[in-house]
Amino acid sequence: MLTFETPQYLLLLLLLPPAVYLRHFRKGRGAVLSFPFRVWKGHGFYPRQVGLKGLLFLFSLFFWIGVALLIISLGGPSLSRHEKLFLSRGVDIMIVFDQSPSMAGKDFPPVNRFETAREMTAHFIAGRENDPIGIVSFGTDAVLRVPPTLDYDLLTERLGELKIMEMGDGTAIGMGLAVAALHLSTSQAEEKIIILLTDGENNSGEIQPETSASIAGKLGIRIYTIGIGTTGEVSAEFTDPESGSVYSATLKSRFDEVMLKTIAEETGGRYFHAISPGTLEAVFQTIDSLESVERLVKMQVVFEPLHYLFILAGFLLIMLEFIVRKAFFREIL
Amino acid sequence: MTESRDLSKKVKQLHLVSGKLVESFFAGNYRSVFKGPGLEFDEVREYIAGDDTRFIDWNVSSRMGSPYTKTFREEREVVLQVLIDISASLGTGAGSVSKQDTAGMIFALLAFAAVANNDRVGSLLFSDRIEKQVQPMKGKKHVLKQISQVLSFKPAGAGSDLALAFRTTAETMKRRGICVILSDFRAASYWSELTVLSQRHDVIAIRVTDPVDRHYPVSGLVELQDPETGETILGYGRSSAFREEYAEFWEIERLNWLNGCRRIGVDTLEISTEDDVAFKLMEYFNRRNKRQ
Amino acid sequence: MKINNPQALYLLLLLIPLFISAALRYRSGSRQLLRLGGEWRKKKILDLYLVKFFFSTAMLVLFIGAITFSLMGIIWGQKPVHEEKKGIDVAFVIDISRSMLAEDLYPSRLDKAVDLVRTTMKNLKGSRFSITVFKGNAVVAVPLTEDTISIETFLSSISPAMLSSKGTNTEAGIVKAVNSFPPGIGHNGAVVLISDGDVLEGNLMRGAELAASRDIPLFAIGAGSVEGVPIILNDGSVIRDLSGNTVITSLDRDALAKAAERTGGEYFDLSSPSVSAGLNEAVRAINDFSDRKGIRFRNIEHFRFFVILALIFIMLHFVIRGVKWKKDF
Repeated sequence: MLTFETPQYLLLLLLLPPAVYLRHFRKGRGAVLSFPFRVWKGHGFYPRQVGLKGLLFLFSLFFWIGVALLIISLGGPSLSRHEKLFLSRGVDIMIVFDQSPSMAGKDFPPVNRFETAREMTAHFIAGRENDPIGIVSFGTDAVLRVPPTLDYDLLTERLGELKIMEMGDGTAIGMGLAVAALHLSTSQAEEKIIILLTDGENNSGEIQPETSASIAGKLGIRIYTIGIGTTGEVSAEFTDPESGSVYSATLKSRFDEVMLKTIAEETGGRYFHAISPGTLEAVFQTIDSLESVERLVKMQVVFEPLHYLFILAGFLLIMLEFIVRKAFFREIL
Repeated sequence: MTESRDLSKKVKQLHLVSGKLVESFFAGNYRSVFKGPGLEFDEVREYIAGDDTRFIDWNVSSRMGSPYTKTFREEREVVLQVLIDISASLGTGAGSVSKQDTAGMIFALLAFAAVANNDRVGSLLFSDRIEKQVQPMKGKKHVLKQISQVLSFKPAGAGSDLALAFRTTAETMKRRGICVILSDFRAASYWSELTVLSQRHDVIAIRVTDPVDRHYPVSGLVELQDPETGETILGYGRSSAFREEYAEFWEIERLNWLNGCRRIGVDTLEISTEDDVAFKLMEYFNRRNKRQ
Repeated sequence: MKINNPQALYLLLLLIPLFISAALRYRSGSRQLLRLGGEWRKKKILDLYLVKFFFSTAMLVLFIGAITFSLMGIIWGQKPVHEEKKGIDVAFVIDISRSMLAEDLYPSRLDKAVDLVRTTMKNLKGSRFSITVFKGNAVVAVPLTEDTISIETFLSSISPAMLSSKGTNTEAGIVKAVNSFPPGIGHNGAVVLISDGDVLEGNLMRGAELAASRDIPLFAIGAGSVEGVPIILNDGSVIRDLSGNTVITSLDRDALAKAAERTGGEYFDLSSPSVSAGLNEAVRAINDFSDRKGIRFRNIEHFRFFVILALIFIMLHFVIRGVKWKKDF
């Protein structure tokens, strides 16, 4: 929104009409050459100059717009923007993402479990405000993708870069939880949560999920676990990121519902089972509503001064008229 | 201050130039061109075969017993009335002299020639009104005063009402005389008055012009203001269309004037500010002399 | 008094063509005037034309001058503004170009830089940090986070090999870092740039402009020496250019100091023993500024005065042209 710091200067615009009159219409103005072109009380030489007059009118208009812009610049035009200023801390959220091959299961249309989970996560991130969110992903091993940050743009970008099987074909749920807990340990947030997204059972890594969960619990971190997919056989297709070859397989999907439940309950979180994209969305909505803290928000107005633009544009318009008159039309006076 | 000194210098110069001219050539020509308004009885002499029988003086013939005839000569004294346009449009003019000065110069030459012939010179300065009228009088002193008046007169009006000037002249000049009109003829509806004037007097219309009257110079954009009405147009001599339109307009105007004058039998002469006024006048007198 | 946009002075270059064209226009203009107005009043016309032409052109020159000054962003004085922000977020921008491997600082410029980052993080506990690394382009390696462990992990593996691009694009680094501050976080931001200032690409000053426009001070840390040293690779060899000369990397201290000054930040030498203490103090000072009842002093930029002058001059330009003198023009 355009606002003015010192709008009283805009009153100077009122001087424009008299100035226009004085320059262009006043009888007895200067810069005109006395030159008889009329027959007294008869006709006179009135050349047809529609084009010339039109052009001069246009550029005179430019000139006066330029002057007006300079006057407007005196008013201190700025672009004001209302910005939310968070005065309280949000919840620190770590999303632990399963990258094992079974996530390629096609029971989650339109593509597979992995893509659906990614989409829902992105959706979830977009819905949060002022909550530092980080991503940990795991396969055979676990790694921190993004530390908890408010830089959601970067976060979504990194989320989009995740690929199935990047971290091997295992499912190191315990490692994932441990890495997430570790990176939340230095946080001073009052509320810290981990959201675990998996479709399998822990079959890799040195740390058992239960151990990680108890560490997290001690650090005051709640864990929400989401089991993805149906049990039973499901077809899958995925590309090995290393070799680039496409694999097609039928997976026997099973997951350790008991373990996921235990972890969640132990840390004060909850376990959800998402059997379809719709339910996954509902799960995220539930977490979203569970984990809302009261926020101290202040609206502040940010001003971005624009007077430079006005001065520069006004100057260019004024010079444009001058150049056109003097260089193009070779005005004499 | 400087202006008045300039003027007196101009008058002096004019006097010198025209003085010589008057001596040598001009004066004689002037007389032969401007014959008097009527015939004046000269003498009675014996009739020679071939004389017009109408002029036989029967009284003398009966007394002397042989036919005598009256001879006449033209009336010596001629009135030269000069009408000078001093409207604002004459105050401008391209070239080395202004139109008003050119008009003044023409007037001076004519006036000196008239004085040399012992004629009476009167002048009428007009714009959209009669600015100054001087009754015809004899004498060099009187003429010099009129000349300096013409050169320095500051007009009160701006327009040029030719019709008014013609009407006034027609009313005030009772006897047939010579009427010279010095103007740029940039005025409308004066033809009926000019016709009346030309029927009674020997009228010569001298159009004072300057180089830009006919051709607008190649030049950049400038706003032009008509000195008589204050209207403005854009002068854009860089456009050939503009220059052509301008030349065409004033050429038509000029041809109209020439034709109009010819139709009512008014002699015309065009003198530009660039021309040598004396030379132009001599040329004109020569031409007119031959015609007669 | 400070000047924010000295580049506005380039506008004055307009005066050169203006003067040339004025001379030409005066010559042809007076010729054309005489042709239209008559030689018989030559002196009067030319005198008047010269006077009017001179003064109206002078007014135009003054107009351009005033506009230039108004665009230069001349600053004097400060005014208090209310500010809600508390705490500091620090974005580290680390040059990982090959020249940072130079060993004129022990153990190397890069290692010394990493040490400085660590110390700063320790000194500013509770703050958030981000790390941007740059060579020919820049990448936000660690987004703004409280998670010092992730930063530590990153720092332990930092090396020129992280980015394949060549060169030293400081501008890109600063831009990424400035943009890594999410809006509305209610903290004061600060950018700490560690570079050997051997700027090859990008415009350091433009980066500084961006930071200044967001009220983010830039603290520039210059690594290496002004004299320059050869770059020694891991295998002990020295980098040479195509003609076999040793590539010397030297510090452009002035450029860095100027950029820092533009944003209200400070410049430090990485080689100085007091660099971490100085940086710490300077960064903390931003916070202290606003802690006193949230009042912060902002520079006042003066442009109105010059714009008013410009308006007066351009109007005078037309007054001189537009007032009829001696009934002529």
